[in-house]
Amino acid sequence: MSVLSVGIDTSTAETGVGVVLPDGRSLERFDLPQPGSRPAHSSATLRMLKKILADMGTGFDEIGRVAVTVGPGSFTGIRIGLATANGLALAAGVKAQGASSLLTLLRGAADLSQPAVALIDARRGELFVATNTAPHDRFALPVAEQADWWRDFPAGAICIGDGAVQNAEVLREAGFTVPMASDALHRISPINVCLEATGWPEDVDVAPEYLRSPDAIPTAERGL
Amino acid sequence: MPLYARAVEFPIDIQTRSAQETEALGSELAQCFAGGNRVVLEGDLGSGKTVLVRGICRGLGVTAEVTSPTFTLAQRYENGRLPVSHLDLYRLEAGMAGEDPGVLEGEFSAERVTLIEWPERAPIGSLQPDYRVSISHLGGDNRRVVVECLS
Repeated sequence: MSVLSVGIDTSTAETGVGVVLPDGRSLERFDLPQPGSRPAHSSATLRMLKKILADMGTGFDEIGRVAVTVGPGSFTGIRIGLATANGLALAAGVKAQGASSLLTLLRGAADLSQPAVALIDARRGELFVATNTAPHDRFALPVAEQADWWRDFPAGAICIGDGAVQNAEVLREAGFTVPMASDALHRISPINVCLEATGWPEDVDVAPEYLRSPDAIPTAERGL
Repeated sequence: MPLYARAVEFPIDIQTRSAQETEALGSELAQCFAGGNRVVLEGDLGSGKTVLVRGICRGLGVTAEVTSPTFTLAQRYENGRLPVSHLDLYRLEAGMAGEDPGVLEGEFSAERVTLIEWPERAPIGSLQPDYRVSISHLGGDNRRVVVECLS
């Protein structure tokens, strides 16, 4: 990367911001809400970016590339992330680039020899799921409705992400590896967002990735 | 006689017979609203909340197209007599659980009229509505619209 790159992730309750300098030096920071408190996506993102840029001796003027997770994940978080990324990109005269939150999470486990399953809390009794054995098959899994919802995961897989932490006990009992809750593998690295987003098509605007069909039904289809 | 031509007494309890009539009612109601007012809109999917909002926006002089903000959460209209924020919180969970309420802060500023669909999904304690509008189906295109003043 020959320009200063910014990576942003707001797809889970955490807020992650990272900067990669043209010389390869990088720094990332996270805002982790305390148990029971709410995400701080809207206030933390730019505040952390400003601090990181200052700590690295650079500034907003030097930003040449902006990468952001497009989801799946937090409904408002993704909107805040995309809006922030688009604003930064506009000021830099470039287009923001997107990355799947699930694939970015899997990228963090790329060096491991075992298969990995990324699990992000989708709320409403569901998890967003992707495996590194079939990364293009990403879906919302209704865990509240199925007793053995993990049955199609690759045998012996390591399970990562906030959805894995929430279901650690069940997954370990089923024979999967779940690192300790504090392990960085569970976290979406904003520097990995920068790397993952290199595959984003140049002419495509960033937009939220939904893995669930909308539950609001257009009036015309409602038959009222 | 239009509502605003006389002293309005709340609650208003009116039956409309078409989307056009619901929109016209919204336009009349808008004459009662002032900056900082928060209006919650209750009614099932398809009851006509967005139609009423369109009328309110027209009544406030908004000329832009008024569309449902179900996917965007909030839609702002700035070119009318008062700035309007139209929120549709349907996509959120009760109390905006797990989400950052800071994203909606700017929609409740003192100069704006804020229209809120699915208000029960707003963060607990953030809403002190001035008006409550309840819309219910009466079969076909007929709707019952009840407007209460809460402040």
